[in-house]
Parts: sequence; structure tokens; C-alpha cells
Amino acid sequence: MDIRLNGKNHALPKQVQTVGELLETLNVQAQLVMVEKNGTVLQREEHAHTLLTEGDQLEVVQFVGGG
Amino acid sequence: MLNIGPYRFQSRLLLGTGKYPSLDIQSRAVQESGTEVLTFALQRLDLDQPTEESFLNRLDLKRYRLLPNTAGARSADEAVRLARLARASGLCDMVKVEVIGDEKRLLPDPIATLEATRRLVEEEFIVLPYTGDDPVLAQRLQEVGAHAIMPGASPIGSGQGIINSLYLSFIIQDASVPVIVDAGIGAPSDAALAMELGADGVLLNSAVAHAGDPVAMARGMRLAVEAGRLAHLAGRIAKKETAMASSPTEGFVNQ
Repeated sequence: MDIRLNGKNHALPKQVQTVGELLETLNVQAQLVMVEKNGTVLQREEHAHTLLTEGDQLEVVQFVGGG
Repeated sequence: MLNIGPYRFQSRLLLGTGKYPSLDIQSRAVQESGTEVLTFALQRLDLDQPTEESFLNRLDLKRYRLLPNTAGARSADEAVRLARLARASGLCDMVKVEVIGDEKRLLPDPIATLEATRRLVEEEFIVLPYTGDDPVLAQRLQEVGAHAIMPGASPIGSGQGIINSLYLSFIIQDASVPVIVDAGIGAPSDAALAMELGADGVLLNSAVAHAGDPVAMARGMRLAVEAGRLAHLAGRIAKKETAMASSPTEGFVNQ
């Protein structure tokens, strides 16, 4: 299954079915990340059960230094 | 006490978290500043680069309240989207609305700022819009429910200090919510002047982060904000054109 992740095409391994599983493959468990799926912001507790489907547009963002 | 929406702060200095030489220096500067509010920006996770340690990981979040900004937004829609993403962290419901309308000078877009503020207030954010020094716009922002007004002293990162103290005074006089002077502060004298004019707080980043010694400058800014606040409460003397002796003018030994 292919999705768009942060503006780029991203091929998902077969076993990855949810946003939470996707984040695990990205090795960002230790970090605080926020996710938007197809224009809708997900609450963090929704990551684990939000299913991914072909062509989904995902944005994964983090806090960085800023003024 | 500085009251913003439901929150109470002892410190009137709000600090940005960008552009420090190192996380260690940043940690010490934050400590010395006495701040209780730290701004952050949002950025796409770069999937091709290993991510650097985040300053957030070093913070005791019981001591600091996060103020994410909407930097990068060029429209009200984008600002609302960034604010929602920030709140989805579960760590904050305050947001600094920052919608740039002039790329060269990084000046805020007044129309989009007003629209984003109105929508985010409706979505129950605690909204602190970064705005220009226009007193009428400041009133409009309050009418749509802004919890504080954050007029720029001068362009972001310019270090030019307060370039329109008259309009800033108008904003402060008419405001029924806190006025926090944001952007353009270069030196402690600028921060003190903002507070002497009656501002409720100061938000700065580059003036500390880019200083020769950010830790010492953070302390300087803390003292300046406190000094300016005390001066405002105390009431400064009026400026006169002529001298007025502080010492006795009679009874000198040579008379």
C-alpha cells in the first residue's frame, strides 16, 4: 500500500495497517509527534486504531525551536 | 501576576526557543530568564534525516506552559490547521497566531490574523495573536475574543527595539486584555521601555539566543522586565525642559 507522507510517496510494509504502526516504523516513539490524516488532525489516542488506506495523505509534525 | 485566559504567571517574560547555540546553553538561559512560557514552532518530521534531540525532552512540563506558534502560515486556514496540530499534542491549548503577509519584513497579515483569531477562539483555544502596532486592529482582535494582544516592537529578529512607542501606548491604554510586546526587542533597555509604557509582558527570542552570552542576557532581560514593571507601577517623573536641583541650593560653606 502506498500513501503520501509529508508530501512524498511512501510505500508501507504489509504489516503496517494503522497510524500507530506507521509511527513505529519511523522510529519516532520516543518523540512527540502530531499527525494529520487527509486534512483531519488526529488526537494522540487515535493513532493506535486509525486505519490507513491506499492514497491517504499524512502529515507528521513535531515541535521545534521557534519564537 | 500576568493573567492570560485561565492561566496565571509570576513572570512577565515569555521566551522563544529558536536558534540557541546549544541545548545546554538554552537550558541555562531558560532557567536564568525566570520564564514560565516557552514558544515553539511546528515542523514536518524530516524522514530522511535522523531527528535531533528536542528541547522539549529536557523540559519539566509542570514548570513551563507551551505556547506553540503558527509560524509558516500564510493564511487563516493554515494557521488554524497548525494550531489544531499543536493542540493534538495534548500538552497545550494556548496558541500564538502568526500569519505572515510580508515575506521580506516578516510583518503579520492583519486580515488573516483577525480571521484566524476569530476561528481559534470559537474552537476554544487560548489565542495570543502576533500583530502590528495598529491600535484599531488591536481593538478588532479583542472584539473577536483574543486573550492577549501581541504587537511587534519592530520586525522579527531585527533587534531595533520599539519603533512606535506612541501607537504601542495607545494599544496599551485601550486594551482590556494583556498586551505582550513581541518581536524586535534587541536589548534589556527595549524590554524595560515596553514595561514602563505599561505592557503586561514581553516575548523575545533572538535577543537572548543570539547574544554573545545568552545565559547572561537572559538574566538581563529578566531584570529589565522586572525593573520596567516596577517603574510603571511606581510612576515615573514627568520630563521637564529645565534643570531642577536635587541638592539644596542654599547654605553652602562658601556663601
